[in-house]
Amino acid sequence: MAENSAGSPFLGCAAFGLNDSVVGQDGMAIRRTDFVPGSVVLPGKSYGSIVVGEQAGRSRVHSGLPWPPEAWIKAGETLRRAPIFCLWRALVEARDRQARWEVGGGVSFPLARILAAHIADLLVRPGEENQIAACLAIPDDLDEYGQESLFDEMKREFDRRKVRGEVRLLWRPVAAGLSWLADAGGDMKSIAVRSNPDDFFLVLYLGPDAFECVPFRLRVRRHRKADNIENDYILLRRERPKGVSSMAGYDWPAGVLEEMLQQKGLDSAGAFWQAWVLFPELWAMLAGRLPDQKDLPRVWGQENGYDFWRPGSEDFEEGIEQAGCRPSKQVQEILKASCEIQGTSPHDRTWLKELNDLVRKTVSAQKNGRMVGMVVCGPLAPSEPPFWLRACFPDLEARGLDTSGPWENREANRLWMSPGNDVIAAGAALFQQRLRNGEPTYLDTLPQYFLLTKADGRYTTSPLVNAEDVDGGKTYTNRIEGFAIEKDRQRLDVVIARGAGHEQLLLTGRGVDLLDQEVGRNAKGLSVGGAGLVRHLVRTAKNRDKALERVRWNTRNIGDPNAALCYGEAYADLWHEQLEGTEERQLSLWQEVKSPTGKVKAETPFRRLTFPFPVSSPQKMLVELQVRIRPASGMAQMEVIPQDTTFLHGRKVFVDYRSMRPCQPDELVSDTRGWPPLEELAPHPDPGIWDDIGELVDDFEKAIPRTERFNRLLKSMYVFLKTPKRYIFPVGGGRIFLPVLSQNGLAGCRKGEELIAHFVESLQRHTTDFQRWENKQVGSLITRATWLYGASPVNVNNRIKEELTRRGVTTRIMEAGSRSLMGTPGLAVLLGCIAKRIQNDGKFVIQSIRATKNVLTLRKSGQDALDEKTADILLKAVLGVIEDYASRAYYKNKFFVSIKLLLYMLRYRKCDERFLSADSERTDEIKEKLKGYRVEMERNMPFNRFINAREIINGTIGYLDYAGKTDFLATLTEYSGADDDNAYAGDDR
Amino acid sequence: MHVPARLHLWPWSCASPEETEDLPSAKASFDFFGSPVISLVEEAEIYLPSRHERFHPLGPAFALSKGRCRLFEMPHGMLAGVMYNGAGFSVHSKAGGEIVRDKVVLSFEGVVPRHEKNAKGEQAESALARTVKSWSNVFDKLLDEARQANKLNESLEWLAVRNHLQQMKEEEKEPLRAVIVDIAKTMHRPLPETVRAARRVLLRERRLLPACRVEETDSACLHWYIRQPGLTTAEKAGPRQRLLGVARQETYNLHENRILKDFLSRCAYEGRQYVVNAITDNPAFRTASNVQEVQTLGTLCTQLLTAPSLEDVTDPNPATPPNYVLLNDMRYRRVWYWYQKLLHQELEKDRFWDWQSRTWADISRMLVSVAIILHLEQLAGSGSLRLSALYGGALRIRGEQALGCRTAAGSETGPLLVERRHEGKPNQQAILEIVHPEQADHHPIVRHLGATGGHLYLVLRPLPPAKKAAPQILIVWAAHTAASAQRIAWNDVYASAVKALHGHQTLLHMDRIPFSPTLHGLVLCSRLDANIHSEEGADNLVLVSVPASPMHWIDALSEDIILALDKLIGKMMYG
Repeated sequence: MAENSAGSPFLGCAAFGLNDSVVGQDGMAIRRTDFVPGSVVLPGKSYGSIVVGEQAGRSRVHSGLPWPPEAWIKAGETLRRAPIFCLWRALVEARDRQARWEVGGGVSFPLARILAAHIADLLVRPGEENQIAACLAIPDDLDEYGQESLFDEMKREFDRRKVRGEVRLLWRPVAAGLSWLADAGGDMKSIAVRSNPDDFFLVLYLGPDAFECVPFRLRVRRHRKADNIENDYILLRRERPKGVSSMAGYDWPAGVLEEMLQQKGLDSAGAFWQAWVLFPELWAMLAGRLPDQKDLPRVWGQENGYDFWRPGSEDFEEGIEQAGCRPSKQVQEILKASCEIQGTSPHDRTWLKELNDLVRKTVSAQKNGRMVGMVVCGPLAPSEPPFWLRACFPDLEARGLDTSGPWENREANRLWMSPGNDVIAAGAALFQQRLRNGEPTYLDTLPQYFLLTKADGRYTTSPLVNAEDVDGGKTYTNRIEGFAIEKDRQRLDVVIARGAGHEQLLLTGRGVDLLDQEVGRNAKGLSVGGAGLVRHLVRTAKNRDKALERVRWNTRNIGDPNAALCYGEAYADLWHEQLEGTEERQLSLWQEVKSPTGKVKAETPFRRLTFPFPVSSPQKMLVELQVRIRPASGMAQMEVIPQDTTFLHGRKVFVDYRSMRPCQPDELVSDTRGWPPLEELAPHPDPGIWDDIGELVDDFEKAIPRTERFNRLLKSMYVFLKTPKRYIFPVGGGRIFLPVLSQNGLAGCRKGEELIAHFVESLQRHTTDFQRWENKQVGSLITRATWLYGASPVNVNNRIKEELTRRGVTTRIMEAGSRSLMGTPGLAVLLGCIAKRIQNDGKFVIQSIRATKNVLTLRKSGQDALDEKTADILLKAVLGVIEDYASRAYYKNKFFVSIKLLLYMLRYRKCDERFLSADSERTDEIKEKLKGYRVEMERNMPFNRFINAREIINGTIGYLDYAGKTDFLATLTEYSGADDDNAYAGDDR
Repeated sequence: MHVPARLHLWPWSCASPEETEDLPSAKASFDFFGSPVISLVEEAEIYLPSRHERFHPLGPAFALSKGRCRLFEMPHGMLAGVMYNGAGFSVHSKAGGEIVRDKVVLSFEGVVPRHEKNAKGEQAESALARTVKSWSNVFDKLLDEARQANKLNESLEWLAVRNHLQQMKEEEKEPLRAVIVDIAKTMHRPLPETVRAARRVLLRERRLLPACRVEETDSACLHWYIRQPGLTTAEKAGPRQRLLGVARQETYNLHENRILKDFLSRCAYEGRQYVVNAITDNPAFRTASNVQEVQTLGTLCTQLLTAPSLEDVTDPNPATPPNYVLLNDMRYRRVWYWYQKLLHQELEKDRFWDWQSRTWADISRMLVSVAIILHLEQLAGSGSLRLSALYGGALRIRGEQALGCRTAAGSETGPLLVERRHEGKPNQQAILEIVHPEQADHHPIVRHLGATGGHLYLVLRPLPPAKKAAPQILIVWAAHTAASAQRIAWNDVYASAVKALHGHQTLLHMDRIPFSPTLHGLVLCSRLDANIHSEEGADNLVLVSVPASPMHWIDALSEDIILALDKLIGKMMYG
C-alpha cells in the first residue's frame, strides 16, 4: 500500500482473460492481447514456474488435443491449464478463503499467484522500464482478502522479475466511470449535480468473467489545486455490491458450445475445451464481431481423431439467442477437480433476456433522479447496442438518457458503447494520475465489518469503519476500544463479523446473560412480585408449554392478565430457548451455500483473528485497536495499542491475517452455555402475607436496642422473612412456597415494600452505635438482619465487612454477608475470607459452602469477586466435599448443595475462559468422577430420587461440556433447597 | 525357465523366426548386433541382479501364441560382463501364488568390452566406452542449458536442442566438455587456497604428560590422580614423573578435509582419464585448451595431495552426510558441489554403459524430433510436402538416467499438420502424431504395435477423417550397432528390417484390428566412425547409420535423417 513514487511511469491494466489491455499515462494502449481467451499453464511441481502469455497459448499442455497424453482433457481430472476468466471468478467466489488451483499430485497454487503471473507478464517486458506503478482493475465484487492476496502475489512476482513495482487496485466499473467522467464530466454543471443528488450513471461491463451492471450517484467536490485555483470535481459515489455477480460471462459461450456438440453427437471434453478456451471465434460472435477468416479452418482435435473447426456466424446465431442463463455443466465437470467454481446462478430464461432484465432492474432500483449517462464496456461489449439492449431503450429514455447514436462519443446524458478493456485500463491510469496530483478520485463505501468484543461473557460489536463515504485511494483510520489482553497471554484473539449476519448471534450469545438481566426486573403492567412469580413459574416448569399453562392459571393474581401472559411468553422463550431453539437458531446463522457438486457448505460470517505479542502480558491490560483501511486495497491494517506503553517497548503489533480462520457461531454461542443462569428468589406477590407485620414494624421502631423486646421483635421479623410462604394457584389448585423478599431485598407488593423500607430505616437507626454492642449481640443481629438480603442496612453491611477483615471471623458472619453484600469488592473480601479459612482449617464447612453458593447463585457480579487463586481453592474444596459425601454414600441435601456450588463455580468461566475449559484434563477428571457418583447413586438411592439425581449429574456434566441446559435447575434447587431450612435451626441458636 | 521367453537379435525381429531363439535355461551363445530384445509373458519381470534393477518394457504388450508378451531391451553391461564373469539376469514369475526366480545366463559373440588394451599395451577405456561417456556429457549440457533457459521447469525448446547440436559441431576442435573440464575451469584457482588454509581444530585429549607440562585437567584426570599411590604430586607422578592431563592437539583429520583429499585424488584420476581418452580419440586434441586445462588441474591436484596438512587425513566414510562446513563454508561448499558431481558422474557412467542401447534409442528419438524441427525450417515450401507444428513440445531432460534414458516420454514435438501442396495450395492434409513407446499404451493405434519393438512411432492420421483412409505409421528403430564387434553389412541389416516390416504388416492384417495401418520403417544404426550411410530401396523403409559421436549428429540430421523422414512422410501421404 505504498504511495506512488513520483517519476515512475504508471500504467492502467485490465486483464480479465480476453482482449487484455495495458494503458500508459497518456491514456493510449501500450499493450493489448488478441481477442483470444487467455490461459496460463501451471507446472506439475510446486516449485516450477508458471507459463503465461503467448508461451502458454503455444503450449500443448491440457489443450484438449487427442495426442499427446499431456494435452488430454478429461472430466474429473486435474488441469494444468487455467483460463484467466475462471481464475478471476473463482477468486471472487472464494471471498475470504484462500482458493487454490489443484494440478494433481498434491500440488496446488493460490489463484492470486496465477493471476499475478499473468498480469505481471502484461505489465513487465524484459529490457523495458524496471520501475512500474500500475493500477489494476478488479471486479466490483472482489473481497478484501482477494485484494490482499493479489497485492502480495504481485509484489512477489515483481521481485521475481527484478522490477520495482507498485500496485494499486481499482474497481472495474469505477475505472470505466472515471474514463467517462474525464470527458463527459465537463458537460455536467456542478450546480446541476449538487441540486440533483439522486441523478445516477450506469456502467454495464460485459466480460468473460462476469457481467456487472453498476449504478453510481454523482457528487461534487471542490478542490484547490497546487496553483491555488479551486475547481469543482464531479465524483462517482460507489456503493458496495450486495453479493457476487450472478452472471459469469464464460458460461454463455460454454452453454452455446454444449448445445452445439450435443447436436453433432460429440461427447468430447477435449473438443469442447479447445473451442471454448483456445479458439476465439465463438467469443468474437458474442461480442458482435466477425471471425477472422484467415485463421480458419483450425485443426480441431476430437476424441479419436481430428477435424476442421470452421464455424460460420449462422452456426451460432441461434445458439447464442437460445442459450439458457445457467452454469455450464461441462465447465463444472472439467474444472471441478482443480477448482470448484459455481459460476452463473441458474436462471430460467435466456442470457439475452436476463441481460435485458439486469439493466431494467438496475435502472428501476434507482428510485429518483435522472440517468446522466451509461457506459457499456468490456471485451464482450459490441460496438453498437445489441437488440437486447435496444429493448431497454424506452426505460432508459424514460429516465432521461439519450440513446440515439452515434454511440462512440463520451457525452453527458448519452449512451457510450466502448467495446474492449481499454476504457477500464485508461480509467485505472487516470486514477493513478489523479492520486499523484492529489486530486479527488471517487467516493467509496468501505466494507461493513464488525469486531466482536467479549465482555462479561457476551459479545458486543464495534464497527471497523465508522464512516459513510471515504475518498478513493485515501487511507481511513479508526480507533476501537474495549479489548483486553488477559494476564500471562501472549496473544489477543478477536472475532470479526462481516455484514449484519452477526446480529442473531448477539441475541443468542446473550441468552444466558439476558436471563441474568431479567432477575428482579419489573415488567410492564406487572408488580415486582407478579413478574417474579411469572419467572418462577416458567423456571420451575419442565417445558415452555407447561410454563405458559401455569402462567395462564395465575394471571388473576399477578396483575394485568395480558401483560402477564405476554411477559410469560417472552421469558419462556428466553428460558426454554436453550432447550429447544438453539439448533435452529444456530442453523439460521449459517448461510447454506450449495456447491456445484451439490455439497452443502456452511458459510459463516465470523472469523477469528489473532494479534501475536512478543511477550506475555504481565497483567490484564486494556488495549485499543487502530484500524487503517483504504478502499480496494486489501485487508484493514489493525494495530494493537496497549494502554501500558511499556508493554511492547514501542514495538508495533499488527493482526496476523494468516491466522484467520472461519469461526462457526456455535463456537461463540457455546461459551454462554458453559455456566448456569442466576437463581432468583421470587418474592411472594400476595399483600396478605404482610397483614400482621405492620404492627411488628411499628413496635420495632419504638424498641430500644439490645433489650429483650428488641431481640424478640427482631426475631419475629427474622422468622417472617426467612420462612417461605405458601402460594396456592388460583386455577388448578397447585401450591408452591415463595420467599418473602427477593435477593435484592424487594418485596413482591407495594405494601411489603413500604413495610420493609420502614423496618430497614428503624434498623439502620438502631444500629448507629454498633461499637457499644457485645459481640454475641452483634452476631445475632447480623444473622437476623441479613435475611433482608439486598435491603440490609448499611450499618450492618459495614459491620460485616469489618468483621470479615478481622481474624477469627465466624462462618455465621460469612453466610450472613453472602446474603446482604451486593458489591463486587465486598463479595471479593468474603470469598477471599472463605478461601483463607479453607486453607487454614483444611475444611469447607456447610456454612461456607452455602455462603459461596449464595454469592455465585444470587449475585450478578458474584463471579467477578473470584480470582484465579480463590477459584482454584474453592473448586478443590468443593470437589473434596463432594468426594467425601460420595464416599460415605451421603446423597442428601448437603451433597446437592455442593453439586450446586460446583455448577455455579462455572460462572467464573465468564471471567477466565481457561477455567475448567471443556478440553482440559481437570474437567475430564471431574466429569469422570461425576459419572462415578451417578453409578454409586443408583445403588444407594431410592429409584425415584435417583432419576432426579441422575438428571442433576447429567445436567452438570452438560454445563462442563459447554452444552448446558436449564431443565434440571429447578430439580437441583429443590434437592439442595431443604438444606437452607436446616440452616435455619443453626442460625437461630 | 518357468515361463517362456524368446531372444530377438534385433528390436524388429519379433516377426522374423530366423532371428528369434527360444531362451533355454542352460547357457547359450548368440550373435550380438547391438540391440537384442527379449520377449516375455506380461506377468513376468526381469531384473539385473547386480543392482536389482527391473527392466522397463519396450512398448505395449502384444498377443502371441503363448499369451500376452512384452519386449525388454538387454543391458550391454550384462552382456559384456558375461564374457568375463558369466553374469546374467533373473526372471521373476508367479507360479501358484509364489514368485519363482530363474537365472538366465547368455553368451553373446561380438560384444564390445568397456576396457581394452591400447597401443602401448595398457588397459584403457574402449572407444565405445568413451563415446558412451560423451553421451552422458551431452545430456548434462542440455540439462544445464534447460536450467538456464527455464530454471524451474527443466525443459528445453526443440529449437534450442537443434542449436546445441549445431554448437557441438562447431566445437569439434575441442574434445567434449565433461565435469572434469568444468572443475578445471572453476576450481583451478580456489583449490590451492583451500588446501593451504585447510580447516583445523584443536582436539582435547587426556594423555600422560610430564608433570611440569600439565596445564589443564578435568574430573577424569582428577579421578585418576587420587587413585595414584603416593601423597605428593611428585610421588603420584611415579618414576617417570608423568601425570594424566588434558592436552590439546591440532588436527586436520576432519570430515571436510577427508572430502577435500578424496576430491583431489578423484580429480587427478579423472583428469588423467580425460586426457588419455581425448588424445586417443584424436592426437590433435593434445593442444586443445580443455585438455591442457584438465592436465594442469591433474598436476595441481597431485601436488596438493602431498601437502603436509593432508598427510594424516584419512579416507572419507561413504555413509557420512555432509557436515555444516561442507554445506556452508564458502570454500568447502564449492568442493562439495563438484565432489558430488564427480561421484554422480561415476555412477552414471556405469549405468550408461549398462544401458547404452536404451540411451541410443533415446538419442534416436531426440534426433527424429530435431529432424522434424529442421524440416519445418529448411524444407518448408521447398517441396510438395509441408509440415507445420500445431503445438510444440519441449525436451524434458531427467537429472538422473532411468535405465539409460535421460529424456522423459512425451517430450516429442507435435502434433504437426502435414500438407501435400499442389500449385501452392494444400490438396491433402493429415495430422502427424509422435508416440513414445512408453506412452504407446494410450494411443488408439500404436497400442496394437507392441510386437514391432519400435523406439518411436510417427502416426499420420488423415484430415478430415475418412473412413476408408488407413492411418500410416512410421516405426523408428534404434539399433546400437556400434556396440557390436561383429562386421555388420548395412544391406543385410536393411534386408532384415524390411523383412520384419513385412512380417509385422502381415501379422497386423491377420490380427484384424478395426483399422489397417500401413507400416513404414526408419532404422537409425549407430557407428563409431564419422561416416554417414543411408540404405534405401523400393520398400517403405530407410536405414541411416549415424555416427555415435555427438559431434557428428547434426551432420547426420541435416544430410540423411531429414531426407529420409521427408521421403517416408511423403510416401505415407501418398498412402
